[in-house]
Amino acid sequence: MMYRLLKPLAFGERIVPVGAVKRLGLDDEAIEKLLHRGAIAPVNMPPLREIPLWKSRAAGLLKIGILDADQFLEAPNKILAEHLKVEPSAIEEWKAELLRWLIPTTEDGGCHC
Amino acid sequence: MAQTTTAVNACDVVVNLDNSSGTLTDISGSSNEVSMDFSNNLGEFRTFGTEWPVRMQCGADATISFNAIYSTTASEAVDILKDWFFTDRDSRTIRVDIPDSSVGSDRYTFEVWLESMNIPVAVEEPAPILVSATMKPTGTVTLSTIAS
Repeated sequence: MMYRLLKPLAFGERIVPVGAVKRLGLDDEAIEKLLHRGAIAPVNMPPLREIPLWKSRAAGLLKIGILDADQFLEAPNKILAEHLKVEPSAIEEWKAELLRWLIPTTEDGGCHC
Repeated sequence: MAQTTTAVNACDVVVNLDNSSGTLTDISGSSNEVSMDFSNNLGEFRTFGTEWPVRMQCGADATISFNAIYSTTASEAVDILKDWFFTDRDSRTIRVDIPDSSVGSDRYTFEVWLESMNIPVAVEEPAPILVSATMKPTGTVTLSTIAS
């Protein structure tokens, strides 16, 4: 699940600013506490078929029940690779591509242009 | 209005201060009070024919002070303070976690200069010497929520 930071979050000595959208990699209990504190909010992910140039990948992934970006990002690379008949490294690249599309960067102001 | 169920006290607050190597060191076990004072820099004016001033806000500032138990162990609060004033006089990081350092707690982080240190020594006082230090931040003071 992706979350938008509503308060700056401290990961050890590193502080991630408000507005960042991240997969937090924390356990359920920690997520629950941060939600309760109003520090984070879940981000609703778009269906994969809505991602530009992802229609064919989305159709393939739909066959194994993966409909949206969150499900795709959470699914193990090995299983995805076996199903789509590609190398796991390709899945890793697709996930990175998807994250670049989903998360606005300071470089392009989020326009992906 | 419902009564709060999430009030916190200061019993388990965690205070960390950089040692001379720039490593945050937990000094909670040798300090017993921290005070963080925040202020806004306000300006005001009033014109003819009006009663109430108009105020404008510009900068912000803070002062942080804490009390430390005078002890002789290296890396405890007073040892770090003495080293800071007499040896390594750079700015340092101080961090205060409220109510503790667990996930969801508030974390105040300051990069500070040591402004003053007071060591009151009185022969009639049987309690440990309580050293107080006052620091002023340089740069932004950060409030964050502990995530890990």
